[in-house]
Amino acid sequence: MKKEKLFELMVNIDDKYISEASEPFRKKSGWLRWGAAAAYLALLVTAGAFIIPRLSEEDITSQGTAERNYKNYVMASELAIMWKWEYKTLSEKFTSVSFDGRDYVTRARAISRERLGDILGIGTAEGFDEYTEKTYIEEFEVRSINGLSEERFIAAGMNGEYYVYFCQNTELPATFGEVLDTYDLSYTLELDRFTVCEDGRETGIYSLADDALIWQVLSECRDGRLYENVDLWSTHGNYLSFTCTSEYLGVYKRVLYITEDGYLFTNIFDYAYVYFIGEEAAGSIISYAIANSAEAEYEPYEYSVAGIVTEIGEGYILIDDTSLCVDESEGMTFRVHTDDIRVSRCIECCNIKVGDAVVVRYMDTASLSSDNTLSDAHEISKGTLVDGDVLIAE
Amino acid sequence: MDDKQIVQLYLDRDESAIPETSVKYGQYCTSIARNILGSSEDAEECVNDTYLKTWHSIPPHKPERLSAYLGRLVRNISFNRYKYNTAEKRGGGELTAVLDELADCVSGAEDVEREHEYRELVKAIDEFLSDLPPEKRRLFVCRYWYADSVADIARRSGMMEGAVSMALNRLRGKLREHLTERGFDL
Repeated sequence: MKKEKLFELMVNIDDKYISEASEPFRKKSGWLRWGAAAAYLALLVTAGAFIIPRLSEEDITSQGTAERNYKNYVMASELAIMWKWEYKTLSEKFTSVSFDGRDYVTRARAISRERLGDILGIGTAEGFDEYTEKTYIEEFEVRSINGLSEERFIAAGMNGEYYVYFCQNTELPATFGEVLDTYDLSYTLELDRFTVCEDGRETGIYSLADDALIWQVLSECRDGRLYENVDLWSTHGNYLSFTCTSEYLGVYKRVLYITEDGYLFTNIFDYAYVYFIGEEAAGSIISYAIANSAEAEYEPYEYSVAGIVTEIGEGYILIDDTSLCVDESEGMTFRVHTDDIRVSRCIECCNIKVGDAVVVRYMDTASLSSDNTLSDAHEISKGTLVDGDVLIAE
Repeated sequence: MDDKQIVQLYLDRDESAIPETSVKYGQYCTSIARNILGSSEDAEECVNDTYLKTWHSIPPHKPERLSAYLGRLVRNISFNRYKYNTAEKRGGGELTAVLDELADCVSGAEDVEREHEYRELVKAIDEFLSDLPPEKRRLFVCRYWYADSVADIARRSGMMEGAVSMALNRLRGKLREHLTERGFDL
């Protein structure tokens, strides 16, 4: 289609949007430009040192949703199984892809078709079975990912299933400008949820309405230098910690810190990248984020449902949480889809059967529908029903 | 005078309909035309053509939202004049930049006119717009429907120009993904 045709066709959008856009904007207020002012200064702390936590994800699993009122819970560890070849997902099997003279490694995260760009060619995927010590070679279709340079990121896969692969054999960008150019972060990464950390303590969780200004400020920090061998435990003052999830970059709940003394830390690229963006820029970002956000609920790293298995059917399993509830009349039954190999392998290999106490883990709240059907779970593990601190004998 | 009263003037074939329209919506129509054409002279001609077309189209039409109705007419008339001018290598306002941005969303290939598919495409664009937060939707419609300049949008919204550009860039990407997901091969 020609761009003129698209412009022409857009004349027919709904009247209400045409009228809405002709009305005055609600002007943004409360954010502070360079040089900051009272709102930012109120954050400053004069007292001594505190420790910046390690840049690794917390592994917190909550059981049930906010509406569940439990007296018991199922104690179950995450599975640490080395799966046999036939139980692995495509990206678990083929952890590296060679393409166009570069080697890429898996980010182990799927990417949907609409995030993909052009077909670039065919890459050679390699996998290794630890049990048989056999090496597997497969041809993968390689595509670009919208917004990202194929020198760093590609999508590779077969049969319509694509995963993000990342080229590690490249130098770290020496400046923050190179980071912005290479990863097009304003497009591929949305900064939404963040925590405020003062005096070493998290003082609140917030959700940002619009991150455009933050990217505008960061776009003016192009000369920010990469710092290697930075002591992450040294004093950096107060900071904001943004939670970063990006399908394009193949990351889930990594972190990006902005410290009041002008550093940007992030582990979205696996390494702990540290850039100095300057106190002014950091101050603008911090004050803008605080002034333009609303308090938000705590979100665990991943979600779960738990209960007793009551039925195992073709492509599903039923889990009843009545025995966990304070009020048993509030018990619910969850229908969990098991057609994903990551779930079906757990049931088969761990010999999960009716009557077992289990925990099912998933990452996206949209996976659990209002009728208690859970799709897109990624693990189910057997556990033990625990009453407070007391283990309930089976 | 409210929209209903103005529309009634057209229905009653009262010649004061056009002056009343001009008083209430003259500036509105002119800004759309000027955004597209750049030239005040061309814009004025298109706005006058818009009044004429409105006179000849109400009745049978009886628009609920007169602003949107007039906006559509002047946009179409202005865009047709733009295409004529472009062929003649003349003029052009903000629209050239707007079209270059919209090029992100399409392949640029000639395609066969398929009315049914175009209707579905507009529905999908409406769906995309309905999912956006109001402030973001406004940015998108101001730029790609009204062809407002980035500077003007920034001034009215209180945002920085760079922030507006970045937001629009992201919105174009999201529109492209939204349409691809729904099977549109643009």
